[in-house]
Amino acid sequence: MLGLFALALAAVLGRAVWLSAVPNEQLSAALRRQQQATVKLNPRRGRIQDRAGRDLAVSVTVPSVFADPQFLVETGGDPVDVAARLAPLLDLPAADLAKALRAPGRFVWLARQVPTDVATAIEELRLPGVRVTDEFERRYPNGTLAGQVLGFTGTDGAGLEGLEKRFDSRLRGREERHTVLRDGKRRNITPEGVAVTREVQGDDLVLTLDRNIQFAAEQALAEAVTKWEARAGLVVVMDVQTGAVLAQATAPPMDPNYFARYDRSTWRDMSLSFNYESGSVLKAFLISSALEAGVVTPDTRFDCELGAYRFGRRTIHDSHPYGVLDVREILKVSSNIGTTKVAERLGAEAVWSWYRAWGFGQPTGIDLPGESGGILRHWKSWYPIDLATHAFGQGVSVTGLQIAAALSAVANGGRLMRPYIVQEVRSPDGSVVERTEPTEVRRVISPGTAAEMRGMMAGVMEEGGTGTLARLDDYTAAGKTGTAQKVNPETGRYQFWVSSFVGFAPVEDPRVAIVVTLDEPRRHHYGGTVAGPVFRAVGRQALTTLDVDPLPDRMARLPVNTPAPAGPAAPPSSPALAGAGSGSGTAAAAGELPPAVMPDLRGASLREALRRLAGVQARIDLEGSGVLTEQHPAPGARLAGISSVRLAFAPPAPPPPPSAPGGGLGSAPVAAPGAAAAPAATPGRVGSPGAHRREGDLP
Amino acid sequence: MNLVPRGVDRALLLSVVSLVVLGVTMVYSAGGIYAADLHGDRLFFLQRQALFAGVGLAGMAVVARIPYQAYRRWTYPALGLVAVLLLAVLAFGTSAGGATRWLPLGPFQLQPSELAKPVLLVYLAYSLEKKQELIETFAVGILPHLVVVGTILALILVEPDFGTTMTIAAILFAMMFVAGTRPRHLLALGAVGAPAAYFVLMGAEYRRKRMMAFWDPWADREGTGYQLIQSWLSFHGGGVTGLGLGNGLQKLHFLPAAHTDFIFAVIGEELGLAGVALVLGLFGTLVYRGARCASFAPDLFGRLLGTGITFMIGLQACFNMGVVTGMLPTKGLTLPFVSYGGSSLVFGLAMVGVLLNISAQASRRSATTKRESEARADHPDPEPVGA
Repeated sequence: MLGLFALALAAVLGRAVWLSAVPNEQLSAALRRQQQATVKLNPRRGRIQDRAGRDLAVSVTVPSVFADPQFLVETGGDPVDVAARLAPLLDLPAADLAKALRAPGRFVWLARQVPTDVATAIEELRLPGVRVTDEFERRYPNGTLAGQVLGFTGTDGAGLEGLEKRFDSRLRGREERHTVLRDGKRRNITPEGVAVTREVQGDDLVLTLDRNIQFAAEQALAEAVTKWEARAGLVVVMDVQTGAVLAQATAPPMDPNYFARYDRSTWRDMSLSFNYESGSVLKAFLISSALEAGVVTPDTRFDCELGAYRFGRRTIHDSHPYGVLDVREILKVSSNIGTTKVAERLGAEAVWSWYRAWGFGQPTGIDLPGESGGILRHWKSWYPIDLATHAFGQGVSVTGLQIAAALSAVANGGRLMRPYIVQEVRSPDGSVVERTEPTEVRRVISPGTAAEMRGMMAGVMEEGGTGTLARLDDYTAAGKTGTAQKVNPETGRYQFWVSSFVGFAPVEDPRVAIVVTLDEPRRHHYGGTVAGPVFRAVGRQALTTLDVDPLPDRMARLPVNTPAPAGPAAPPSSPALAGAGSGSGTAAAAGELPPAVMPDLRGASLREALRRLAGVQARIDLEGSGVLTEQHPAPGARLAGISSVRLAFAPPAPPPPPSAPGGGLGSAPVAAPGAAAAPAATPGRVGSPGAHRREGDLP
Repeated sequence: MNLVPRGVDRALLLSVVSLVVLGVTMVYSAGGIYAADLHGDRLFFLQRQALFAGVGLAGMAVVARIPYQAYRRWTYPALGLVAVLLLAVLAFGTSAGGATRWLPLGPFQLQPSELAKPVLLVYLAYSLEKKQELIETFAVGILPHLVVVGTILALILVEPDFGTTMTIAAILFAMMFVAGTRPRHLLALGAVGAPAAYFVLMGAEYRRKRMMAFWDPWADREGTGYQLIQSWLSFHGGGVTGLGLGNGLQKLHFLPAAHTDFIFAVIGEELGLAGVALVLGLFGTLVYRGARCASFAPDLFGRLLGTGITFMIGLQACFNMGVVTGMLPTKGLTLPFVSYGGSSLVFGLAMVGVLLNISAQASRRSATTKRESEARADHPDPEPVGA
């Protein structure tokens, strides 16, 4: 009997050896199959943040309910019963759920992206084969803010528009696959017995965009679009030194949280996809080119033909008749005839190649998708009239972003920077993976020319210029209006308008370039009137946000008796001087020679008085506020050798309406006391609206 | 006080205690996760098994001091008690896994069929000894035992508990054989019993399926073959050295009954072939020493009882390990001293206590014999023999 027993034990041992120690692919495979599972860790999409780290796009986890129908079958569960218990929680018909639960296979969605309390309630039911998992949902906490810049993702999490599209692979991150152990109830476990919970993330984007400036831009733009009944509009705010986009607004707005509710046309970022003939805005670049080429100087005078100039077989008109104007005045009043004559000195080929140099006719290369390059036809295909139209901005299509970049070049001393909007790509642990360094595309004009242009463009904001409504009060600014005609695609005729105001500020030490364009405003179309106030609102917000000292503070800190080889007024925080440091005379001098004799400043505002004394090598003492009532020395006195200038201000007695709304461009500023003292040779009525009628029809 | 009575078989004792310690450990390892899921307490099975082990070992120590001859008197009352308890199970027992085998007893449950084992062993030893003169006759030597044991087995079979029934039936044959029944009678009995067993076996659908499963578990790997395949996978995963104590994966809801009937597979997975060999060695020692003790028993009752106990333990262990390794059809038998289960452990240890008493008496007798023979030579005044 003991022998039998020994035999039995030996049999068991033999069997155990066969099972344990002998290779057996059938058993090994079965073991692997049941104990190991591949777990896909879907990465959480990276955040998009503004320059201050404020969230613009985030991904949140949202629970979703799914079922393992096969598990339900294996455990003998009743689909009808399970469905009946789920139906009230999910608010879905029990019949549909039962049908889903009877589907073949191991996975079927029951309800995606359900409220958390519903998910918890379902988990607590512990229904066989019914589970809850976390999915990611993209949220844009600021609603419409920068909607077109951010773009959006589809339901499968892929970026479809904007930054979401352009940086999709970055934001999305890498899906991780892990082999984990699985238990008999098909739950995943790590060897330590803990479920895999590690989160995988995509990279974060930190933009150059500033939420506050963006908000101000969208707000002001929306108001203007509503007020002037425009079809659409755009605002670009750019850091002139780097080309970094601080704001890029499109109207009408689009909330990427609910992108599907919006018309597809509102998904596009106008600033880089909207090609338009910008009109007189381009005069600034044409004149800059002519100055740089040396074919004119600011003082070169042209006969503006009293408003009608025969050019080939066509006649070019100005909105107001002018006699002889120098280049500075041509820009200030935006004379088509004068600009055409400047262009004639350059010639078609030069105009074309200069425009190319400014970046027109080609994409800027910003790190956003869908950018248009505009349309700049080769000069060889030009008709003779095209030289004139190109000079004042018709027949050539540009984008707001191109204008902003070119404007920045004027402002920063002549360097065309490549615009960018993504400052950094950061990995989930916060380390910087990629950082965008400012890139100079090319030097377009010399610092000296740029300084001259800044002064001339500052003149546009003066009384008699077209940009008075765009003034920033506490900051100096330079700008240019543009009121272009637009072809109605239905009729093929110039019937609509595109109104723009572009500029930069402060003049002494430019920080931001701002482009404002409204497409098809119906109630009014002068660029200064329609777009100027937007420039004003956005500019003030931008400079405040960037901590640029307002004018009185700057003046109070003016150094005494400084020889001022460069601008004396640069705030210490500003990096601009270093950037434009090649002695360009960046700042206050602003292109105009300092006056030799004391001008009559009575009635002038503080800002205007200071501007007109710019470059004077004397200490300036300020008293009071309002308009200038007293000055020392008296008008006409020689300034050479004078060590101090005293200016006293007092509130003006009759309330002057310099910014009276609705007053039209030309008339309101005329009433301002400063108008009489304006040094410009133009008569008081010359508030050019910047409107330019195209002569005849162009092919 | 000396826990271990003088003269007991220390190898036997050591092997049993080792099995119990291994059992408590493995019950925790194999059942912790299941316990946590079932009762919200990983320690649920461990605490209870440790308690059963304590009670069982204490009981064993007590039983080892009781002269086994005393049980003769209690044979029939005990049989009656077992019959009543088994009837009570049928009347209001609690069920698990499709079988009704337990009587609720406060926080615990009594499994009367485990009590039936020692009682029937005592009965058979007592009765076969008493009828020793007429053992070769069918009417006296066989029939009464068949009737008594058969009655009890019928009650167990209807629970149903086929494994226990088969084990006890086998013991019946073995003890009758040892007691000197004519092999002819036993063969005839087998010729009648085997077909009966076969019909019982194949008559019930679930048993037939289990039979088929044992033959080819892969044919229905998600159904009847599932448990056996999981058991094989446990051994295969463990290899020679095992995954280490507590590191088994099959107990994670793959291997059903990991802490009870299939604990041997968990040993194979966590302790490897080495653990398997250890268990086999312990049972080998237990059976060898038990059989040796029985053979040295001072009387036929002791010899029969000791043999029955040893054989019962050994047989059940072999059945269990045969099932777990897939050499026998699944019967629902636990691995003695190792599997989770209070009744099995307590009554099993009590039986070992009887065995130890037998061994103590045997060693004292042989010591006495030895001393007597020596005394005859050297010491004229030997001590009187105890018991």
